Amino acid sequence: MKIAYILLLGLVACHPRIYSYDVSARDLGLTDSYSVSWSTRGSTYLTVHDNAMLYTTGPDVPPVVLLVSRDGRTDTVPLRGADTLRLPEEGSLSIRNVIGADSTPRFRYMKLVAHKYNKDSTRETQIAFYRAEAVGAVGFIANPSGDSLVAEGNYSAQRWGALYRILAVSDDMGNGDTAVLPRDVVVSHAGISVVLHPGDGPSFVFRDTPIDGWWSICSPIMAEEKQGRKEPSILHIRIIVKHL
Amino acid sequence: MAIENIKTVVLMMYENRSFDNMLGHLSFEGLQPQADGLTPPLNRDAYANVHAGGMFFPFQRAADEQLQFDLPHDYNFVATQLSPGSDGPRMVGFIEAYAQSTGTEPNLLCDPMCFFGSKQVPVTSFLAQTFATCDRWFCPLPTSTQPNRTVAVCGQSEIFQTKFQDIPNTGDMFAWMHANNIDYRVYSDGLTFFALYVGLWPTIFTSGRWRPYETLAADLNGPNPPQVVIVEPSFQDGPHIGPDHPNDNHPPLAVGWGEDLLRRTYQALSTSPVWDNSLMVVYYDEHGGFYDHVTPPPFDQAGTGNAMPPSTPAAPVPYNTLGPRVPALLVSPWVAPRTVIHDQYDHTSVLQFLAERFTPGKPFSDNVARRAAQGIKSLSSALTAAASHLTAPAPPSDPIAFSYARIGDNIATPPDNAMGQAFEGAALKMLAEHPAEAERLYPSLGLWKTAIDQARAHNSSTTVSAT
Repeated sequence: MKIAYILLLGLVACHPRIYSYDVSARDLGLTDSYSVSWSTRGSTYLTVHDNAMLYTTGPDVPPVVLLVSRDGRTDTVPLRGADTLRLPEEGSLSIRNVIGADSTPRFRYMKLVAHKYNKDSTRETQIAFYRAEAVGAVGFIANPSGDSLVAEGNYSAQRWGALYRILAVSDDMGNGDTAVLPRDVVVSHAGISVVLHPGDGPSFVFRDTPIDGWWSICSPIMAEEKQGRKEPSILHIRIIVKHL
Repeated sequence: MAIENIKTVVLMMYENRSFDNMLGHLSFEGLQPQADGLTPPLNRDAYANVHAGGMFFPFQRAADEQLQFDLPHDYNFVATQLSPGSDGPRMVGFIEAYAQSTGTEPNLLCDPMCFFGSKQVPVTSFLAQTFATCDRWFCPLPTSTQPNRTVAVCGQSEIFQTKFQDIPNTGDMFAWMHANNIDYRVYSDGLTFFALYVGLWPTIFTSGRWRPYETLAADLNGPNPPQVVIVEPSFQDGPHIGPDHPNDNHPPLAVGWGEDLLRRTYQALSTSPVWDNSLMVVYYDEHGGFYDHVTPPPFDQAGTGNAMPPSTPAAPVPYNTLGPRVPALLVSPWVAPRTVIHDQYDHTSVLQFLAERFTPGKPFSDNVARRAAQGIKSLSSALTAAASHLTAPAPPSDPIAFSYARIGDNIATPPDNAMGQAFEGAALKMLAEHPAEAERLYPSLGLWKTAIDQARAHNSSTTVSAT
């Protein structure tokens, strides 16, 4: 019995730990560089796995080739399948993709693993890589205000960061979802307002404004909704963004 | 009467998954199109969640892996998840609650929105496609584990949140079964959840009805199989030692071990003599913070004996609906094969059914009857007059991926979550107040206590030295 708990005690004291794991950006252009820093206890490695940007299990996008800079030198690191990038217990590195700017947009899963005594501790971060022009959305929960629905709030500066600017916006309500009626929306952002109509082409009035900051999207409550049809829970627009 | 064909009821409640998370694939993959799961395209308005201006949609997990975090699911976070509008919950705040709870910027494919494909939950999917899937089974309360499990066992809850507390067990089903001479047993793969109810300790220790999971198959094949069988997984937040693997499916745990337990339990039941007259209920205590697209219906919780959480104009907590939908399967020769039941159920549907079956004409309790009056059906509504599958189909033999489960990682420091604190507090109290009984029922519990004492003393002295 005593031996058993001494063994257990040893295992507890020696299990792997990840004290910190930070990735500098979450939305990037395909060739942008980013930094990774970590602090662990145990044998440490990084796995990198890319998937096409789909909402189901996207096909793999092999191979991943990275330019990894650390301690003043840069190496080309191809990662295939179960390949891992061995790391010290603490450090940082800068990573850039070796792929074309027009390659497939992808989600990258970067899993940091600390391993000790047959145990793993893991942390995983997802980074989205986009082409120079990419499509996204801005949306907020809609609440009734008089005869209108109002959806407003701050768009997070942590997404897209400072690397992308707005190119164009368009009305996307009811597009592909019969549960929501197509509708006009009034969009205000960066001191500019515009009315968007369903089916119209993109508007360029917000061109070159940053994506983060305050947004307001308003839309009149429609006759069917006043008669009992469910109002949309979210008002949103499509945005086309452009890498700087 | 179909109900009289059921002589053995097996109850198996897992932890913390939504219907869409475990069974949304039934419609998404076209396996059970009539099930109200997810359907393509996933990036549609009806499924959208928002956080800080970004939009998030359901996605299929690439693999069954341990998550980074448990997901938020106590009453205040559930209120955020449901995001009620003027006409009820809107189900658009699951990512917002996650961001608030974890303090992280959510991934675009963020864990609360994930769902499993049929290959990742092969046993659950097999049972759903072979027997009956309930696609309108809601957890009874829009809150967390302890209150919902209390409703499951008592018919109402005098608590509204999960924490280290002595949970009142007023009107519990064990007392009801004793009073009505119903033979029952509880088979636990770890420390029983009912350890959290101090009022049940005398029953747990002295009734002889709490047994190790390993004895289930033998008992079902024995001369006097119980009428009601409760199968408990090994709870992730419970004390663990030795080769024990948590298998309750509670995030951040992967579900492979839970699938394995489900397969073993189904095999034990379906190959035993009681199969022909059995009903196995596989359900989840609550949604665990995972997205579900179906809006919970309005419900008078105060009027059915439930404690209400604090709510102020500045921090309103609407507690006027059922909780989110949970996965629920009825496995029996006496349900229509490959069927989807759309009747509205919650955990008290089981209590209604037990009363119909074993005390006909006498409801389980007034509060369960009040829930029935608000539209909660009894499981008897799913039974058929003729049996199918009297020869039970074999479960899939596909290998199950067993993702790494953290065992004992954190015993050097006290648990940092409410359920962990509750389990640890109950286990320590049991050992302090009833050491002989506790160690007789759970022989490894004393070893666990010694291990955590030593680990924490070591941790504490290391910290002092470092200072």
